[in-house]
Amino acid sequence: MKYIILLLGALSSLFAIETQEIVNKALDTTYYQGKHLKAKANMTIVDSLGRERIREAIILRSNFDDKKQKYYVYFKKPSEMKKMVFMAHKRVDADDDRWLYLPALDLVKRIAASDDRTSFVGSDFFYEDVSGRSGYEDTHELLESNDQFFVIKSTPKDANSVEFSYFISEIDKKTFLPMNITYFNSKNKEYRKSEILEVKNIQGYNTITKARMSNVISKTYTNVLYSSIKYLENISAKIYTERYLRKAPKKYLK
Amino acid sequence: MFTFSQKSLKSPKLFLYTPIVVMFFIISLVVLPLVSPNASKYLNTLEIDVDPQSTLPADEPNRLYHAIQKEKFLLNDLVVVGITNDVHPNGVFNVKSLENIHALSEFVKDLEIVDEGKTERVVTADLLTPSAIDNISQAGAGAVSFNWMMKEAPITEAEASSIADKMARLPLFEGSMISNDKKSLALYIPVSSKSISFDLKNMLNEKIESFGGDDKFFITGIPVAEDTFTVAIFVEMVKQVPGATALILFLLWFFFRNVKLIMAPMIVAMVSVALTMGTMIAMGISVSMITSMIPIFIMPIAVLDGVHILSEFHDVYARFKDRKKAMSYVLKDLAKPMLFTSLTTSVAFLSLLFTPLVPVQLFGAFIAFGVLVAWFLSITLIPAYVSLLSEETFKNFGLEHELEKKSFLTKSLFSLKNYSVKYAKPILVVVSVLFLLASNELFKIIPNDNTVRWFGPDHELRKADKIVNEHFGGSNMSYLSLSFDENNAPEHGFRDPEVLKYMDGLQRHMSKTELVGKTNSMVEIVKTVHRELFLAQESAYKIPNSFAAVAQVLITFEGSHRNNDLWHFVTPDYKEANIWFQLKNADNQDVIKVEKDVDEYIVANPPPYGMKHNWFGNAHLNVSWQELLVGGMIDSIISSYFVVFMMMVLLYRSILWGVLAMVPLSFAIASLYGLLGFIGKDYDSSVAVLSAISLGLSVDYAIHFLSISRQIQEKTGDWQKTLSILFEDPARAIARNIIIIGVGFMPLLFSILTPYVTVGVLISSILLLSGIATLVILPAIMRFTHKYLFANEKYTLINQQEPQEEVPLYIRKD
Repeated sequence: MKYIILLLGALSSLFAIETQEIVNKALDTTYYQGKHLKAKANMTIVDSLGRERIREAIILRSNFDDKKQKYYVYFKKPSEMKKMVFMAHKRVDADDDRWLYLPALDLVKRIAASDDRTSFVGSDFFYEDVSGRSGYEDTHELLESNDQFFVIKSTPKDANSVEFSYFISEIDKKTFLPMNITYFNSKNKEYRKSEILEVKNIQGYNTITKARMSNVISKTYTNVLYSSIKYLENISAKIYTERYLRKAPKKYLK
Repeated sequence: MFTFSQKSLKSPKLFLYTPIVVMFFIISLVVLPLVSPNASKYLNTLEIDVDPQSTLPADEPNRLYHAIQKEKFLLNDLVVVGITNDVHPNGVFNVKSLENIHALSEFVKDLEIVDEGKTERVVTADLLTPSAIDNISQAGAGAVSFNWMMKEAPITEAEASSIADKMARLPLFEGSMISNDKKSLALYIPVSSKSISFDLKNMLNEKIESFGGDDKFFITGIPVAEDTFTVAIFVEMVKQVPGATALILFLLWFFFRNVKLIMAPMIVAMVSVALTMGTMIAMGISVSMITSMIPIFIMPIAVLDGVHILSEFHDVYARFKDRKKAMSYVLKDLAKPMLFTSLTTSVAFLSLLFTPLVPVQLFGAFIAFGVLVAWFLSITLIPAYVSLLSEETFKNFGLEHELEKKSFLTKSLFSLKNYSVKYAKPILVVVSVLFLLASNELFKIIPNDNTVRWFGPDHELRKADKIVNEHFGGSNMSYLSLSFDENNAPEHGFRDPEVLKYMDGLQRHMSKTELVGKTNSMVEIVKTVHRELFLAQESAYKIPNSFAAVAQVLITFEGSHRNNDLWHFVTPDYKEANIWFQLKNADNQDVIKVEKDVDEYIVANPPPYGMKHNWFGNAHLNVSWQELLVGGMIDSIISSYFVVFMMMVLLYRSILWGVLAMVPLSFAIASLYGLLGFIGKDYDSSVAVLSAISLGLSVDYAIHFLSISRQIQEKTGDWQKTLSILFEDPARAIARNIIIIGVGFMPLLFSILTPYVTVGVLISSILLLSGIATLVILPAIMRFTHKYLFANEKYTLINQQEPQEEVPLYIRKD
């Protein structure tokens, strides 16, 4: 009997590890593919009355050792956002550093770490969605494994730092992309939804080319379309510094 | 008309049971959908709608504009919860109070309430509570942070009082969410539909009761007032009708002392009420504040004809000793006056069709319908009912008639007549002076209404509203929408610094006025975020000088938890903006004053790019329907006055007699409304509605008085004798009616709803006053005009066209 319990315990921890691995792999495919990436992003923010606002930006992304990652997002449209830059330094073991450069005010503003679940430039995406939420901030439970998806329920370790009580991801078994993520509030009601709408194979990588984040309750959503995606050989590491916020690296932004 | 009465005496069963069967049919049409859900697909059931918006026609421009703007700026109606604490030195900013407030905020988050099968909810995204709002603050090393103001309830007192400091730093919340003395809090709970406000209020109260502690909670706001009113109307309808029924029943018994007989007018009243309300509900018309009073109006009016019939029947029965003959005699005698009194009453109610407000029109039309139903039933159902009773029933009936001659009522009426004739001159002088004085005061009447004041001064809602308005910017929201002409708009719309600076100036100016508690717009957002971007220096609390800078300040704000708050102040294309005005008072007069102040400022300070402004919001809507109501009422008073006068001229074939018929009611209405102007009572919706209809009701006494006086004069040829006879049986009938209708509206006085009380007091007073005026002024005038009134023998007595009866008319038995 004792052995059976031990065995079950071992098995369950084995499954837990396996679930964590699925989550890690999904995060890798979504956020870490290729060493360097350049893409054009077109965002359309649609409110409950169908009124649209657009954002157009060039995204540069580079991976470093220890899963460190850096983002440089250079805005082109609308005109009042031209030359605005969003920069993020991401680490797995600590809070991310984020900056927003406001050229009209000639101001580099640091975004507080506590703000990672606030809106990214007015869209339905949060800052955290742009660079990815660490897989170790939640505990994961495999609810179901069907023909198409791993269905995983993730519950935050620190419930006070987030507005959801849990989220459920449907991770594609072939591509390991989280095709649907549904967030539930404290009253167990679905209120936020992330969907991958289109995936293309680019330079051998399964890459998201169209995605959507919706707020189910306020009936708003944001579509993002990625184009001109290129996995590059190299992007100079020095552009991911405060100096380059004011002086955009032209050669990468064409 | 008389032929109907004759037929009803011949086939009484048909005339008694048909209306009752029809009534049950209509009632079943209304009740069926409640019992069987299948039937509800085809049939309509009772619905209540007291939204002032519904008062306005669906295509009324203000209503349309309100709906469009409300959607455009994603605005919801707000339930306001004010919280004060007089015990703790920091007010509610202590650990225990904030813990409760936090719990209350969590409780309403994502709350869903099912109302009539529809799921409505608290709009969590727009919730304004300390735990739901963002604090914008410095996070060290050039970082600006948007963090929740009070994600968790504070643990230490220092934390608790720091929340007050943080909130008071944010102009958006200072004065609106946190009181100026930093001791009280107001929570604003947006609801997807006003219809859940009452339920929400009760749920909040239940939760609040579990708290304990020294905090006082006050729940208010226009949606709560309206929804509470809806519920109260149900209660009032259930309470008022039986109250009125019992009173009228008692009075009838008191006058006639014959239970079986007085059931006849009661059946008439019930059938009239049930038919009218049933028809209205079956037609799918929802019951509003105004139409909810239909039953209580029809009830006393419907028994009036019956009282006249029974009075005369009572007086003559002893002479005939045959119920059918007596009834036939009475009906012939009363046919014309009853028809005309019913017609004048209906005309007055129909004159309400001139007001452009749907509930007022419905009220007028359906009461007019009910009055005509009651008239028809009175002249058919009552005789039918009486002829179905056995002669036994009337064994002692009318015998006490002789005794009645010595009764108090008779004696007082008689001395009233003597005084009126004796002191005719002074009476007429006093009446004329009073009339002139009253007419002068009439113009002092101020049109005004206030949803919150629909409740009596001791109602919890009134108290809550008072407290909230004392501590905060105001519980009444009015919105000033700003826009440009397409071809003259600034390139960047409301992100143009010049435009924002103009708005800022306007807001600062208006905040200084007494009636405006607080204004908020995107100006506060731009200035606050700009300040925090520049290290929270007060000197940076300003609008930046370039469009791009404004735009980037706003994009920074868009990175907050509450980025959607911006769209309540400006449209996403920045072409239209919106300033929130929090008003201390929901009085329409105050709203009008604020609107005028804004107009004056704009004229004195021409805005850039020819900026246009328009008001919307509940407060403004109330003003627009008030204006329509007052304008419409003037039309209906004039028209019903004219039509009633023409009917009088037609009835008596004499202009002089027509004028005479109008005298008592003109005096009664002028004096009462003059009194209103004198004491400064507002001319609100309920007062307005009454002015036209009281005209049609109060002329009835004069019609009966004058018709009978002509009949008697025909026989006596002496006006003094005529008056003496008139002040016996006929005057008693009139007096009985004055008492019945005056008292019949009394149950309204016990209502918790102010409009009901106002209506009750006014209609009772007008009818009592015009009744008394009829009995006092008309004899006095007759003393001086009898030569002209009766001298001309060429006139035709309308009621004398029939051949003489074998039984003599009023002969005094001295």
